[in-house]
Amino acid sequence: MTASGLKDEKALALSAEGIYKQDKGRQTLRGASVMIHCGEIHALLGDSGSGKAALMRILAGADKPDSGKVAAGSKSGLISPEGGIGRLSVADNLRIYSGSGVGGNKLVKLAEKYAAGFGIELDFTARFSSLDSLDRLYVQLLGALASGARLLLFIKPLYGLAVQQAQELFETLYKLSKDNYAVFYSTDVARDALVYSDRCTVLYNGTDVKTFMSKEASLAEAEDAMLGKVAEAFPLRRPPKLGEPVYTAQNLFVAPQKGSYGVSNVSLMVYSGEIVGIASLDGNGGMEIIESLYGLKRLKSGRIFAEELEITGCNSAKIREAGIGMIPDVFGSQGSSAAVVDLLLSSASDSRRRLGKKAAKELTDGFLREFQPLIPLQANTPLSMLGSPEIKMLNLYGELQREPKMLLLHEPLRGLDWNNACRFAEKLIAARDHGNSAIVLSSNADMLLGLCDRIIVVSSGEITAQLDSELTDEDEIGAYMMGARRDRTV
Amino acid sequence: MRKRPILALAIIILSALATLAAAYFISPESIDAAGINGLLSGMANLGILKTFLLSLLIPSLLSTLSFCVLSAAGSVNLAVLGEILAGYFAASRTLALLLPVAGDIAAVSVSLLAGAAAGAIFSLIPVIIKSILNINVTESGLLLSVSALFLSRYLLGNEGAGSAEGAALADSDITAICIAAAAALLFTLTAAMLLKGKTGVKWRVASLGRKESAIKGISFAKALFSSSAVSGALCGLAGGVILLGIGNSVASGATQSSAECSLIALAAAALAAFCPALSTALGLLLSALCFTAGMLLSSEAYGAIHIIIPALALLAFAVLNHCGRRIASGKGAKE
Repeated sequence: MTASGLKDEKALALSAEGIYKQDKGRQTLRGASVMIHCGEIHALLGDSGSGKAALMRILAGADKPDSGKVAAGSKSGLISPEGGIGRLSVADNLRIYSGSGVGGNKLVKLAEKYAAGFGIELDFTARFSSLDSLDRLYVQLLGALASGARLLLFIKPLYGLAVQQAQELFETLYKLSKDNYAVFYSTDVARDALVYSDRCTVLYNGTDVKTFMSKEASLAEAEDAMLGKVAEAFPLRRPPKLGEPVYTAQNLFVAPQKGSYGVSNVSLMVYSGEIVGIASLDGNGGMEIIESLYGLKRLKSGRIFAEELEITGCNSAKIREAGIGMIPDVFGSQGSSAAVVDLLLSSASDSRRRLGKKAAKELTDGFLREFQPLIPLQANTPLSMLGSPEIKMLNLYGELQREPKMLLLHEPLRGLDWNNACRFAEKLIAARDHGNSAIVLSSNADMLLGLCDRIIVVSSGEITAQLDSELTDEDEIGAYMMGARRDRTV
Repeated sequence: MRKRPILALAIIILSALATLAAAYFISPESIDAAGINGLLSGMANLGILKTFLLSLLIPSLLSTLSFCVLSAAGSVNLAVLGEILAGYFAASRTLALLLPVAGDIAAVSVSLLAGAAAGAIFSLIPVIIKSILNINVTESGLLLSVSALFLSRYLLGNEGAGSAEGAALADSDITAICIAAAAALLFTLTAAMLLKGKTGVKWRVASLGRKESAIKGISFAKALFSSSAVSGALCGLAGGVILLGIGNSVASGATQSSAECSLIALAAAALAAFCPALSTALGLLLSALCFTAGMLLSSEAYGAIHIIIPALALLAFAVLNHCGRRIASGKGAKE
């Protein structure tokens, strides 16, 4: 055993040494090094913006480092939640992996064999977009295995998975590691890294700061290494002071579409001064509920009220006038001409009549006082230069300027670094304490438990449970997200 | 990246000087002595300045702003040439109809408005095609422009269908000054709307996409239609001004002038990254360069030089843009 606990006899699957990489003018990697051995599950733990994605791209050969050495001992396959082509079938997605020596049809048959071996049930004729998050990962995994990959690189495989799904995935990966495959994955959750790996390398600010055996490390040790010494505390959830109902949805039905169940007979009521979570896996109707509440999705039937005002069938402009706002997870900015100030002004426009330089400067300065974006920005910085976390923070700051009665948020903390996530959560909780409300849609049960007062679980387009955050846990939420049903409501 | 327009400007000027020098060394007789004399004497009586204003500068600047407007809403206006020609044609017909029955000023004003309306309507065709058939606005706009070019040649014929009323009217100094002043005012108002107004913010937010603009309570369709209409109206107006600058007696003159203006506008707007103020400055410079070069060279070289200079500018833009991307992605950076 070496100092870091490695077994010397295990062959190296890949090693990277002193990797430097600059992207969009920002130094994302500063001498990062990692060694991945065959027969192990190795986690790459790091906060958002620490350089995990850049390092994974380089290790997979999808990008080149500015300097440093990468030596691969075996063929690798890259698997990510965003991978795969939605409009193609599972079999066609597998055929993409065909290459030298392995033809398309032969590869599909090989993949079927692997699937049977691991007990993975997949319809190979199904459209890729109709699969859930776990099956999408499985398709890519089978493709990589069938094409001969011995090193499996996963980018944030636990995103969008319920606890039970995560356990199922890693059971498969442990079987593979016993067959001498190397598994390397990135995550920003220290607990996941410790539970689901043999060894863990922590990346901080583009540099590997620590490598340890996961069983021997404590959670605090891993979190300290990941967040550094300036980590803020996640805001504590205070008991809510409920007021009058601000938002009521009655018997909502949304027609199912490709890759989604639609919404079936969903009713919910949100009171002023509370944050309600909607726990739902991708494609299970959570997004449809949020979009139909904001007028972005047409209802088949059902009624929606903002306080006394009926807003059924209204467009989003009218719904905004009623004091509702939305912060999506993905807010496209590529190829647009909009700048930071445009997003802030359009978000805050209801309370600001003047759009002069002064208002723009006030808003931008205010934002920079409240948040610390990883990519430096100014009022005239084009949005296309920013990442998803910066845009999410700008959206929140802008929306809060007009003091909306209710905010609809989709995966609000996904992609944010720890400190900014804490600030984001604190702002939401502070708004709630002032009597405003929020509905938070997420598949991350842990985050919902930390942020929400009440959690509504949606599976296959229906509400399967309504839970009090104080009286439930991740496992229970995960079970309901997977389709278990509970009739008792809180 | 901020140095890019300055560098591009330097390349344009050097390119223009190199073109002139090459023209002189290859064929010294191509330098038109009469042109030089005309230019010098024109400066004295302002007649040549008027031609420059109406046939090149004002239309070019209006077209440049048109690019900036549609670019704010996330689209590239490649229907500029068609919109200018539509404006030119509508203004020409209106002028021919109104001159016998109305006063000069009224006829000119209404014909310019007709030109703007025709340009706006022309610009809406690609948007309507997109809403029905979901065909890219830029591609259909380009196709429509090329069609308009051939159609205008057919409609006007080689010798033109009308007379030279427009040019004759513009010979009046007061008319020319009024047109220039009105164009400057309109230009300032549109630029202010784009930079300072709520409309500009809405257009830029709409450029993020249909869903994103809906999230911010902005109608994507309304933003696309309004920005296209304003952009088209500016080009249509440019067409009307060209009519007053060169008249409508020769069809090839109209199409050539429209093509020159649209190319100068594209070069200026692209080089300035569609920033209205910087685009205007570059449009002014490019127009002046083209006009001076055109005056100094013989009539054979005149047409070519108006195309070559903006084309060189666009080439410079493409090269610099490519270099910028390489630097941004770290490929050109030294370790």
